Amino acid sequence: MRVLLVEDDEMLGQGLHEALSRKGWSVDWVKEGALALSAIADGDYACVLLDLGLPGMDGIEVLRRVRQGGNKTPLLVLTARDALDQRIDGLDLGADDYLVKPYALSELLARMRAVIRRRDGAAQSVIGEDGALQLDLGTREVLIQGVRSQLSAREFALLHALMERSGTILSREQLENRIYGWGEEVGPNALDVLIHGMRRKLGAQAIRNVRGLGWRVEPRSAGGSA
Amino acid sequence: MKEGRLHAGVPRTFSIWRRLLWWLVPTFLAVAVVTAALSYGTFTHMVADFLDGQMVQLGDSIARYGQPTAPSAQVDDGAIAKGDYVVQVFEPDGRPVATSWSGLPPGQPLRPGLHDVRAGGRAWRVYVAAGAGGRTIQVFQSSDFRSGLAVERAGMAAVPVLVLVPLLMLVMLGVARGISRSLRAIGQQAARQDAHSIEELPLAHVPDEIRPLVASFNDLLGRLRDSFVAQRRFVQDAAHELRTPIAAVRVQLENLRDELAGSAGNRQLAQLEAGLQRAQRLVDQLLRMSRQEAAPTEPPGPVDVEAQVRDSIHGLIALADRRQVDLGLVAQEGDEAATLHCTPADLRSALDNLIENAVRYTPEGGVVDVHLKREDARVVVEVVDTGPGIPPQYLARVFDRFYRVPGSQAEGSGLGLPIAQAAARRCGLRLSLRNRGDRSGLAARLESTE
Repeated sequence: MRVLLVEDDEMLGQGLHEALSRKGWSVDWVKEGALALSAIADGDYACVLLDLGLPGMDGIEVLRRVRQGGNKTPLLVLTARDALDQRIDGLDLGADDYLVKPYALSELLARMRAVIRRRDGAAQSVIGEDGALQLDLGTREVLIQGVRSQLSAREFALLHALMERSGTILSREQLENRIYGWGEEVGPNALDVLIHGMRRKLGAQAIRNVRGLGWRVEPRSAGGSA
Repeated sequence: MKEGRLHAGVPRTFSIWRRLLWWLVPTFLAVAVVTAALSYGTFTHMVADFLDGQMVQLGDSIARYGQPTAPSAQVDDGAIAKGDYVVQVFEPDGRPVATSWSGLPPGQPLRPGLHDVRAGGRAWRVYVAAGAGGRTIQVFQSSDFRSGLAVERAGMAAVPVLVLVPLLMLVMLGVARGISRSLRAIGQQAARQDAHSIEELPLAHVPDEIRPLVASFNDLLGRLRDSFVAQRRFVQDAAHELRTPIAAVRVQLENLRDELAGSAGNRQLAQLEAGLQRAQRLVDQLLRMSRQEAAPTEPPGPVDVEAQVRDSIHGLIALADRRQVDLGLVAQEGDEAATLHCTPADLRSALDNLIENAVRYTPEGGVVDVHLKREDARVVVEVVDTGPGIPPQYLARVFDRFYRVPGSQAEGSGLGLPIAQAAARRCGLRLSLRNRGDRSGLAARLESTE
């Protein structure tokens, strides 16, 4: 897949070019906003990585012109600035996501995959990241490193609650409300038994307890690798 | 004490009131003395002329109209002192005929005219008139009485000036108090300034004389504000600019890791990455600090402490997991919700930095407890870790910017605790650190001061 890299910093651009090429991307690299505009107009890129601090025409202006022209290429903003207003500026103008420097390469690749997938408009029935613990909302199955397995209704409800916004800590009360119906008798250990069972299925580290607060599933929890 | 702070370190050598008194009171006293002296000079002549006139009239009338040979009115010592006349009559042969006061024995008659004499232990003014039938009439009046009269008159002239002195002191005291009140008000406004909000001092109630001082102070404040803004902007720009090269190095390191996969350089690579992490963290903390120094973007209000603690743990649980540190909340059951009046961002900043610090300095397998409790009316948050703690001799220094405890291993920036302290202070919280007594570890305690 082709990606356009717009980055004026020689060392960073070169590093990214090399890293992305290594991961199988075909990378076009430009260092100026004007060149980026013509490249985007001509080329058919799966994704654009746009640095905001460009000489001459800056990244925000490039972004505005791209979107004004009706081009819907997935665009990921890379910025050294994390002032809140700039984020909102970028997202308002039609950036699909932003990443604050310095970022881990794995993070960049994951975000690239995510914006491309979102832009493809594929009905996203699977939540969770590739290679990590995933949940198929359509079939109510869990995917552990791509391998599917069935879940009971309560197991699904538990995992769905925890993975909806992964990383979020949910308290016992919040989880019980999500899993059990109104007026349903919930034994004091029911949730613990359920979580214990899930850990045996998914790996001990899949559902983490946070003392005093509740439970969470780590966004990039590999699952299975206990 | 607010006032005490204004005077701190400035010796009290100068008071407007005292300086006014120092110059004006002696001036007034000098004026009083000069007035009295002038009056004395004037009155001496006036009194002498007037009384001499009276004596001449009396003497002449006795001489002309043949007064009784022995004056009927006898006088005494007290009357003499009050200015009564003594009349003596002599025969043409110089024999005394009569005297009106036995205290002044008649001597030889004097030549006609006015004289000053001493007799009977006193000074006298005397008028000698030639009477009918060759008799001589002498009229005496006490010189002491006459000079006393002049002194009295001169004293009366100086009295108004002397009465003015205490009045003047009172008035000046009032004026000086008024001036120092307005100066103190200006001083308090100046003392309220901090780096977040430098505002110019109002000129409304400033005396004209002080106005140039306040105006130039305002000018200075303006420049100070500009330089604070410039400094913050510089730190932010510098931190932002540093991110790109750090990102570049990081990407290159990852490329290198792929290149060297499985070979011997892994340990060195890990060291490099740790160094890079530290630089990155330093840049992030610099940004946080300079943002914290900027004016707050939201108004303070009631903030639910437990919600902020939860959010903070939530944000740092990934770091704790990565470092295999057991991070958890220990809250007392059944406490009513603890709230503080501050901005959520400040409270979060204090909590984030303390908890992050605890997680970073706690070795793998360690425990970080965040206690939330109430002690009497105070809200207390304690972050207790199982790290190495801080040697007592360094406890006071860890709040200094960029200070790192010698020999510490974690990738600290030396800014976490100063940031936490500044944020806590703005929340009305006191931050204190102590080493645990039961085992190694640090306990960072935030408590509300109200």
